[in-house]
Amino acid sequence: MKYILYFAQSSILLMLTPLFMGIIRNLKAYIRGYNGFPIMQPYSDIKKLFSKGRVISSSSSFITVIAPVLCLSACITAVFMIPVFFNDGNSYYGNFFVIIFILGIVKFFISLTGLDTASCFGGMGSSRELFISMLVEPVMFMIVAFLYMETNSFNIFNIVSIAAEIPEYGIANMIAAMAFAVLIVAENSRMPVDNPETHLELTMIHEAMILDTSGKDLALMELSSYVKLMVFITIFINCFFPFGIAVQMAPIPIIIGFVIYLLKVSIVLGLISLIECVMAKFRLFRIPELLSAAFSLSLVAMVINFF
Amino acid sequence: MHDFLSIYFIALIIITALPVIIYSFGYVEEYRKYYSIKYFWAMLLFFIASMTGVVLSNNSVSFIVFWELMSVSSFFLVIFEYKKRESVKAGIMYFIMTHISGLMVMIMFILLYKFTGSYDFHVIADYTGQLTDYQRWAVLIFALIGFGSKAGLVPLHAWLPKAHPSAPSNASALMSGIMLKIALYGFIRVAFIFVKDASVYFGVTVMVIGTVTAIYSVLNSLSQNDIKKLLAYSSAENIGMIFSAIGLALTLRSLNIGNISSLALAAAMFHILNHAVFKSLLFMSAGSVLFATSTKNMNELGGLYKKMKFVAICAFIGTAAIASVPPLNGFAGEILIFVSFIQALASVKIPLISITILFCGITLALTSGGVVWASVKSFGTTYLGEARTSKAEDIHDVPASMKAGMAVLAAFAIAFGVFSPFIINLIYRWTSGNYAANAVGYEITIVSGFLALVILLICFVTTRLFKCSTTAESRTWGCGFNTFKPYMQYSPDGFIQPGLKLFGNITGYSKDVKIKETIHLKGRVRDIIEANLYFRVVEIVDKAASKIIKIHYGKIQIYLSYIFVSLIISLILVLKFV
Repeated sequence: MKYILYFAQSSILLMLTPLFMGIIRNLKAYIRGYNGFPIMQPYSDIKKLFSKGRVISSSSSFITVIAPVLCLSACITAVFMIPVFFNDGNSYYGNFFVIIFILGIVKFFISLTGLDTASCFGGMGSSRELFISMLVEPVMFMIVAFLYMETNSFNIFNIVSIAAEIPEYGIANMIAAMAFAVLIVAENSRMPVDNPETHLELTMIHEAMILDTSGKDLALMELSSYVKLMVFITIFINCFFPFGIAVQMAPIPIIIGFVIYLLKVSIVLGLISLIECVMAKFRLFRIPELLSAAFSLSLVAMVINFF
Repeated sequence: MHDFLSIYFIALIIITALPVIIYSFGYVEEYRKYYSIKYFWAMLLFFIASMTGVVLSNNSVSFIVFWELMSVSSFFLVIFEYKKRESVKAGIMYFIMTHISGLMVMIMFILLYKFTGSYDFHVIADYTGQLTDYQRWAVLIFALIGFGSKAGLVPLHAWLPKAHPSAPSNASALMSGIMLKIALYGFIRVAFIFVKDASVYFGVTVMVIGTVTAIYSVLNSLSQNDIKKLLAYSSAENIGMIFSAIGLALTLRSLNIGNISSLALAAAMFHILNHAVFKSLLFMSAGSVLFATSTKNMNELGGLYKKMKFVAICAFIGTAAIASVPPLNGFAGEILIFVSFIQALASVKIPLISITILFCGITLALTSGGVVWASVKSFGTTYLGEARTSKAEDIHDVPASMKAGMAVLAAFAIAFGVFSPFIINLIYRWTSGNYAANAVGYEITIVSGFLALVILLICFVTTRLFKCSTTAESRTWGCGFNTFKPYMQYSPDGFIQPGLKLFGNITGYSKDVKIKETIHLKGRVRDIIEANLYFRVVEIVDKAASKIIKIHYGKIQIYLSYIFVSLIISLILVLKFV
C-alpha cells in the first residue's frame, strides 16, 4: 500500500513537471511585464516535438541514439526514488548517493552528445558542463554529509521524516539550504550559471550540448532536464523544509500535504524566475567563486551543528 | 596463504588475466614483424605466474622471490619494444623504482623476522600482537614506502606515466589492472593481518597521502593528450582513492570503531576489483586504437566509432564504469567509499581527525568529478565526432580475439555493478569477521532493474506510439561555412582548457603562442613532482659523483692502496662489531 502511494505521488510529480515549467515561464513574463504564453504550453511543445521528424548528423554515433532515452529514464528513475508529498519514514530504496549518481547519468550522456556531432558548440558546452559539475561534487558531498550528521541516515525517506520532526529550523539548516539552492542552480543550468533561454555561443552550456538534437530526441532531452530540475527542487523542499508533508496514510493529510507541496514549489519557482529576471549570467570563471561560496556555506552549516 | 584475502586476489587475477590473454592472441600480431613473439609470451605468462605466486606464498622468503620475479618480468615487458629509445628509458626508470620498492619490502620482512623470529606468515600474524609501538611504526613505514612505490603513490608515482605508455597495451593492462593491486594486497596483509592495530596517526597519514595522490593524479590525467598516459595517471588516482579508504579503515580500527572500519576496508577491496576490471578494459581499448591507427595522441584521433563499432562500445562501457555511471561497477565502489567517509565523520569524536576525514572526503568528491571529465575527454575525442587527421581515417579493424577479450571484461563491468551488493556483502563478512553481517541492502540491484524497465518503456513509447516521425540524416551545421572541416570540432586541448586555467599550476601547464599568418598555440604539461624532486635528486647524485671521480687518478698504485685501506677498515669493522 505504502509503495503504491509512493508510486502514485511520483507519477503525479512526473505528470505535473511540464506545468511547473509553464509556471516558471509565466512568472518570468509577469515580472518582465508582458503576457506570457499559456501555462500549458510546455505540454504542447513536447507533443509537437514528438510528432516532428528528427534530423541526425551524419557524424553522429550510437550516443545520439541512446542518450535521450537514457537521460530521461535516469530522471524518471530518480523521481520514483524520492518522497514528494507523502512520506512514511522508510523505504527499501532511496539512498541519497544513488539518487545523485543516477542523476549523474544525465550529465555523462548529455556531455557525450555534445561531442558526438563533431560540432564546435557541442564540445564547448560539454567542456563547460563538466568543468562546473567537477566543482559541484564537493558541495554535494558536504550536503549529504550534513544531512547524514543531522539525521544519521542516507535514506532520503528517513532523512525527510526525521527532518520533519525537528520543531524549529536552526540557522545551520538555513545555511545548508542556501548552499543546496546554489547547487540546484548549478546542476540544472539555470541563471546565473547558465542561461536557459539563449542560443548565443558565448553563454550557452546546456543548450549548446543539445543544439544538434531535434524531433523526439529533443523532446526527451527537454523533458529530462525539466524532470531533473523538479527532482532537485523536491529534494530541496523535503530535506530542508519538510513541514506539512503527509505522514499518515489518510486522505485529508495527503491532500493537505499536496497543497502545501504545491505552495512550496511555487515559492521556489518564483524565486528561480525572480533570479533569472534580475541577474545577469556569470562569466564562466566566476562560477568557481559562486560554487566556493556555496561550499563555504555548507562548511559553516556543518561547523555550527557538529563541531 | 589460505584465507579469504588471498583467494579474493587470486579471483581478481583470474578474472582480469584470462581476457587479457585472449586479447593478446590478436594483439601480438602487430609485433611479429619486428620483435620476437615467443619472448613476449614467455614474459607475459611468467609475469602472471609470479603475481599468482606472490598472492599464494605463505612465508616471506617466497613472497620476496615471487615479488622480484614479478618486477623483473614486468621490466622485460616494458622494454619489449627495445628499438624505441623511449621504451628503454622508461624501462630503466621503472627498474630503479621497482627496486627501491623491492628493497623496502625486503627491509620490512627482515624487521618482521627480527621482531617475531619467523618467516612464516601464520607465526608472524600470531606474534605481532606483542610488538612495541616503535616496532609497529618501523614495519608500517617500510610497508608504506615499499608497497606504495609499487602501487604508485605520490611522490613515488613517476614511473607509472612512463612505463605504462611504453609497454605493449596488453602488458600495461596487466600491470595496471593486477600488478598495482598485488602491491595493495601486500599492504593490506601487513597492515591488517600482521600489524593489527596501527597508530591512529599512521592511518591518518596513509589517508592523506592517498587523497593527495588522487587529486594530483586526476588533474594530471585530465591534462594528458596521450590516451595511455591519461589512463596511467588515472590508475594512480584510483590507487590514491583506495589507499585513502584503507587509511580510513586503519584510523577507525585504532579508534575501535570496528564496523565502519570494516566497511571502509570492504569499499577499498571492492574498488580494487572494479579498478582491475575497467582499467584493463580501457587499456585494451587504447591498445586497439593503437593497433588500428598507430597513434595514441588524442589530437590526431576522432570518429573511430564508425570504423570500429565493437571496440567503441566496449570502450564506452569501460568509460562509463570509470566515470561511475550507474549501474556499472565503478559507481558502486565509489558510493561505498563516500558512505564510509561520511559515516566515519559522524562517529569520530576527535576534532582534528574528523576534520582531516572531512577534507579527505571533499577532495575525493572533487576527484570523482575530475574523473568524469577525463573519461569523457578520452572517449569523446577518440571515438566520437570526425577524424582529426588522416591517421584516424584509413584504419583496419581489430581481430576477433581482441574483441572477445574486451567483451568479457565489459560484461564483468556490468555484472559487478548490477550485482555489487552480493560481492560487497561477501567482502564485508570477511573484513568484519561476522559471517552473518550485511553491509548494504540490495538497493542497487533493484534500482538497476527499475532503470532497465524504464528504458524499455521509453523505447516502446517512442517507437510504437510515435511511428509517424521520420529520421533524416544530414551534415552537422558548419557555422555558416559551406564545408565542414575536422578542426572545427572541439580539440582535446580545448576541452580541458577551463580546468587548466584553474588548476594549471598543479599540472605544470605552460603554453606558448606564436602569431604569424595564423595563430599557433602549443600547450605543454609536465609532472611538477618529477621535475622538482626527481631531477633534483639526480642533480645531487651527479654532483657528488663528479666530486668523487677525482679519486680516479689512473695509477695502479693508488688503486692498490685504496684496496688495502678498505680491507683494513672492513677488518676493523668485522672484528669490532661482530
